[in-house]
Amino acid sequence: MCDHISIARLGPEQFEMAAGWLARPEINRWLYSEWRGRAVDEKLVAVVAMNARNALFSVNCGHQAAGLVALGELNRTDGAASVWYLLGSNRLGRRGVISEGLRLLCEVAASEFRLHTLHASVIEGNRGSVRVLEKCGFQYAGRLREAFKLDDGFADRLLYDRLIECA
Amino acid sequence: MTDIAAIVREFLLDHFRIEPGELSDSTPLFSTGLLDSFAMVELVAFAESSFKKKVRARDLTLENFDSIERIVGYFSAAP
Repeated sequence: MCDHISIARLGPEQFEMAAGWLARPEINRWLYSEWRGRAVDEKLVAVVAMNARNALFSVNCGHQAAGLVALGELNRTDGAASVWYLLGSNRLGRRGVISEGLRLLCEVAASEFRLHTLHASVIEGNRGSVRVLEKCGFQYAGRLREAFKLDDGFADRLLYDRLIECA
Repeated sequence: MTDIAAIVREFLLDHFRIEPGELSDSTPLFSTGLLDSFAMVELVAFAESSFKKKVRARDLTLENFDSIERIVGYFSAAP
């Protein structure tokens, strides 16, 4: 179990670890199409991290990284961004690690990035991801029908959002 | 213009359909969104192959890759 959960900006020394998580089939299959089914390596993570429209954070249990939380599509004009997240290490305890990481990300989104609203999309059937969002105060906002390509057809993409107060 | 600059410029124009008038040696490639993350990865792979220098992940910074002239500086420097 994990006594202290924190988030920290993903550093170059963590890019390889993050790439390993993103490449894992059980994680990769839920990602946006740009990530799915392609080689994910530390250079891709480095480039994504250098993009000013992204902000990637490791979720740490004590001193050990357990997963990622991230802002994407950062739009400072509108004060909006998307969020995404993954649990990379089951060894450090599944319960609440990413939910707490996402809660901390919301705080950073308000205090550091001065954002006003966050959104996320989840593939229908990914119940764990929906639970993470709902625990962090995200609300169901709609459905994009058949917006996710599966091997044998399409799935709906469920949209969630949350307003945040700037500190 | 150096060889490196000419090669990178030609790749950008051909591969990403950038208009020649949009692209000078100092045009920001990434920080302004002219290239997205995945295009940048393709550019880095092309440059590694063309200039025979492996790019370390920690070197992938805007200081090294955000314009043709910065790419020239990076690949011209000693390994």
